[in-house]
Formats: sequence, structure tokens, C-alpha cells
Amino acid sequence: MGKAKRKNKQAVATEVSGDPSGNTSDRPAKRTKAADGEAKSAEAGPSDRGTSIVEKTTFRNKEKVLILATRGITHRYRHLMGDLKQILPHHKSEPKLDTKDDRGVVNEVAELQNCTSAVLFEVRKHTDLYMWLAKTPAGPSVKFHVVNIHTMAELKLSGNHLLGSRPVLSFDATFDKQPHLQVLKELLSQIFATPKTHRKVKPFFDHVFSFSVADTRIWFRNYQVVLPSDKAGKQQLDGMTLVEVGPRMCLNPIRIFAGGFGGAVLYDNPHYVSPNQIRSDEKREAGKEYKQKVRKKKERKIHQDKFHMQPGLLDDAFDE
Amino acid sequence: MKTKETTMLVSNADSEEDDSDDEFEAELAASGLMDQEEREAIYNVDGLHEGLEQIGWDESVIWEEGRIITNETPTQVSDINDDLSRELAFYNQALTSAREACNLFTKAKVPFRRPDDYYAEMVKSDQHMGKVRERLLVQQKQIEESEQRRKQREAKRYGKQVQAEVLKERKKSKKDMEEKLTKWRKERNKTGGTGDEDDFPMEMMQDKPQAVKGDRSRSGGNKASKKREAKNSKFGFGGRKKLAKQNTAGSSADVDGFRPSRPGVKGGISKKGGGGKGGAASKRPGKARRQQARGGK
Repeated sequence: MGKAKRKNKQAVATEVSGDPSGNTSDRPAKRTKAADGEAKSAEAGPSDRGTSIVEKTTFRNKEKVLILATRGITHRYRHLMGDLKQILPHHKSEPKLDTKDDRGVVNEVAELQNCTSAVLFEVRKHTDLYMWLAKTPAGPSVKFHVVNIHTMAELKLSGNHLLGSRPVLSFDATFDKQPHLQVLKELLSQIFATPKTHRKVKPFFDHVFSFSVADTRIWFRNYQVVLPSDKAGKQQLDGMTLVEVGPRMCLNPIRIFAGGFGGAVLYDNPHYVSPNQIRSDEKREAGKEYKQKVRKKKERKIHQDKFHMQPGLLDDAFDE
Repeated sequence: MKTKETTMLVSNADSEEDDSDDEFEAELAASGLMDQEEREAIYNVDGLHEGLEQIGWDESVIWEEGRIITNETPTQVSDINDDLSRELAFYNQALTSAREACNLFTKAKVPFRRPDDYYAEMVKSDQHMGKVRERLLVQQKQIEESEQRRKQREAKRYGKQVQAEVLKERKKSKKDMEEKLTKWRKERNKTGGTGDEDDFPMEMMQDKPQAVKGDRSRSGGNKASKKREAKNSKFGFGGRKKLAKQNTAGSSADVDGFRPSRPGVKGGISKKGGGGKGGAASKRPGKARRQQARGGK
């Protein structure tokens, strides 16, 4: 059964990722890329970062994100995609992708659009939403199953912020603990961070994207930052409150691939159970009663055949 | 809304009987689900690191380019299905990061606050925000209304209590009065009815219990109104009146009511000392006595 399979897989995965701190320590020593830098600067404390945030470097963030969906997207998911397009001013959109099987096409489309990464909304059976985040064309890429969606149109999310202001990305500390989460963090931050010099960008800070890990999933929230109108700097920060703007979603990672939209599998989530499996399990559960009834009937028949009454000696004693 | 999606689990087949379990597995094998069991769990740490190196931003990237803040403490959610605690955890994480970001901005002297007179397009339209505001107002109103209803209910309950208390009090005071009165009457009888009026419990005159609204039979029944009395005497009520108002020899000879000394009345005899105030008149008791006689019955 599926459960047994998951158990086995989980055991292997925990063996591999058993000691999160150990994993981070045995990273290759030659690595000098951002995640390392992030970890180091976190150790050094935020004050060090503060002094260096306006230093001149040669590197410029010039990400462009292609956002598109496959055919068969439903209204709710379309709205979610629209919301993402609104909060990512550095996106490019494309018409719906005609195929669900050959996702490699997206790499080419992204190249044509001069995009460095892509977000693909893949909808199956008009019910399940899978979201691909990929660096194109060389990868890596990740496939998420998206649940618990709330779009920006919902009235209970009462915040609002400037269209095109750059967000601050807030990550949970758990993201630095395991290798696959580090990759996810890098992907998410590169896709969701708005480039400083993009032409649609407005200069003020008024919202935060928060990514948290809970229940082995990644939870995305978008908050508006509300500061009281007091001019004194100290009091401003104390009185700071957040109001949720939306959208909300919960991303359950399924697999991480080495390439863009394919390639070798680097990570396979042992906790992931596909919605198809869940549905079929539910159906099986519902059909259990009937199956039980049929089985009992069959057994009763066999039993009756086996132990039927022999004709007795005195059966015809009172006849005639 | 509870997030049901998060708790959906694969159903447990262990509780079933053995034979049905076998059947079940046979079924699974037939449908090809068992094949997946041979699939290996994948966690390619080296591959992941390689991938990270491939895309990771250079170490020299200044913070302002990405604006990425990793919190120092991991976000802990005690119960993932409890909306409130979960959202609170996320909120706190975002708030910590936002504070840190603001600190960084102020330290680097980067202006980050949007001026109050800076108007620009927002992610949500004014129309939409109007709807949001309307909903908030409606919610607030609902809360207020329910609060008011609750208060009213409580006031009613309290009022009932008060009413019961008042009735009880009234009953008690009446009983007290009656006791006092009987006591006084007994004393009067002992002294032979000549006792002074002063020892009459005067508080009875002052605080007689107020008539309860709607209770006419007790208070109004005994006393007819002045008007009724006058009408009764004029037109008759009870007994034969037919000849009572006619003059008789005695009444026509009676000049008792004639008071010649009254100013404006002529032809009377002025008579000092007023014969009218003779023995018969003086026999009428004083007002207090009369009332007392009436009430004491």
C-alpha cells in the first residue's frame, strides 16, 4: 500500500537529513554563494548588514519572471495567478500553455521573453493546482502542490499596498537547516524579490512577503506594513502593525529537479501524498461497507453449503 | 475556515482483518500501486548543493538588492490546524522581519516611508477597498447589536429581581403596619378608648403603601370618590329618597342654618355666641378621631 511505501521513503530521507545542522556543516567548502553569505551575515548580526546595504557592487538583480498557466486553469487559480502578477512587477505573462506533458517548452518561451525564471501553474483534473518554480533554462526547478488558497479578492484580507513597491522577504530560520529548504529559499527569494532598478518599481517599503515552514510545507503570506503617523523614529517601530493583503497559499514541495522543468530528481518529498491517492482512499473507505456486505454474503453461502442439514431417519415418520 | 486539506492522511488498513487485507493488497498489486513501493526515496544532498551553487547569488550582493531577511528563530506552530495560532506565528515572523528591515533602512538613511500626500495605484482598487470597509462596518454593527441585545436581556433579568424585591418589601411593610395597628388598638381598648390621639402611630398616616397599579379592588373599593358621594346624596343611592327632600314642619321651622351675621346677607338677627354651636354640634368628634374611627373598623 501507499503508506508502506511512504514509510520506507521517509526512513531513508531522515537518514539523509537526520541531523540538519550536520548537513549544513558538510556543505562543500568551496561554496561562496548567497545562501552561505546569508547564513554568515545572520551569524554576524543584522547591524553588519545594515552598514553594508548601500555599498556599490557589480552585481545587479535583473530577474524577470515568466508567469503562465497550462490549459484548463479554473477561475480560482486564475485569480491567484493574477494576484501573483500584481505583486511581482517584474513578471512577464504569456498565453496559456497548450500542453501539460512537454513542459520543456516553457524554457524556450522564457528565453524568448528574456526571462531568467518561470512560474508555471499546472492544473490537473480542473481541481489540483501544481506550481512549478524554475530557474530557466538550466534549473534547478521545483514542483509544488498548492493548497489552502485565498486570493486577494477576499474581503477579509483587508490590507492594501502600493502597486510595485518592493517587498521585504521574510524567511523562517528553518530554511537554513536543510539542503532542500536552502534550495527552495534561494528559488523563492530570487523569484519573489523585486529588482531594485525595475522600471515599474515604486520607491517605498510597505509590505512583507513571509515564507514559513510548518508541517513540512511552505506557507506564503503577504502583509501590509502599517506605521503610525508619528514622526519620531523609535515610536514608529514600536507601533508597527501588519495587515494581511493576500494572497495566501500553502506550498507542498513534491520534487526538486536539477534542470529547468525536468532533469535528475534531487529531492523527493517522503511526506507528500498525491491528491489522487487521497481521493481514492476516501472512495475506498466509502466502498468498504458494501464490500464487507458482499464478502459476508459469500461466506454465509459457503458455510450453508458446508453444514447443510442431513435428512433424518424420522423425517417421514408421520407421513401418510 | 479550518484547513482540512492539511490533515488528509492515507487510511490505515491495519485495522482490517487479515484475509481482507490480503485481498486489498492483491487489488493494489493489480492496479499497479504496489509497484511504487520499489521507488526509492531521493535526497541528493550533493546535487542540491550543486544546484544551490549554480543559482545562488554572489556573496557580495548587497542587501538592498534582494531585501531578504532570515529570522534568527524558527517559526513554531503548535497546532497547524488551529487557524489562530498558526496565523499568529506567521504574523510574528513577518513583524520581526519588518522591524529589522526598518532598522536597516534607518541605519543606512534610506527613506522608506511613503509620504502621506503620495498617491499612486494600489494593488486593490478603491472600489474593492470600499467593499472591505463596508464589510468591516457591518461586522462592527453586528457586534454592537448583539452586545445591546445581551445587555437588554440582562437588564430584564435584573428588573425582574428588583420587582420581586419591591413586592416583598411592600408585603412586609403592610404586615408591620397591621401589627402596629392591632397593638395600638389593643392598648386603646385597655385604657378604655379615652387615650390620647398622640400615641397613634403617625407613620401609618404618612407612609401608607402605594396602590399597586392595576389593583383596584383593594384600594379603590372602599372609598368612593367625592364626586360619587355628592351625586349619591343628590340623586340618591340606596334606600328610598322620594320624600326625604321635602320640607317638613320641623325643617321649615328650623332656622339653624340662618346666619344673619354673615356679610352680604341682610335681615338676619345678630346673635352672639351662635346658638347653633350648642350641645348637638359639640358632640361631633374631631377630624382625626373620625378618620381613625373609620379606618379602625
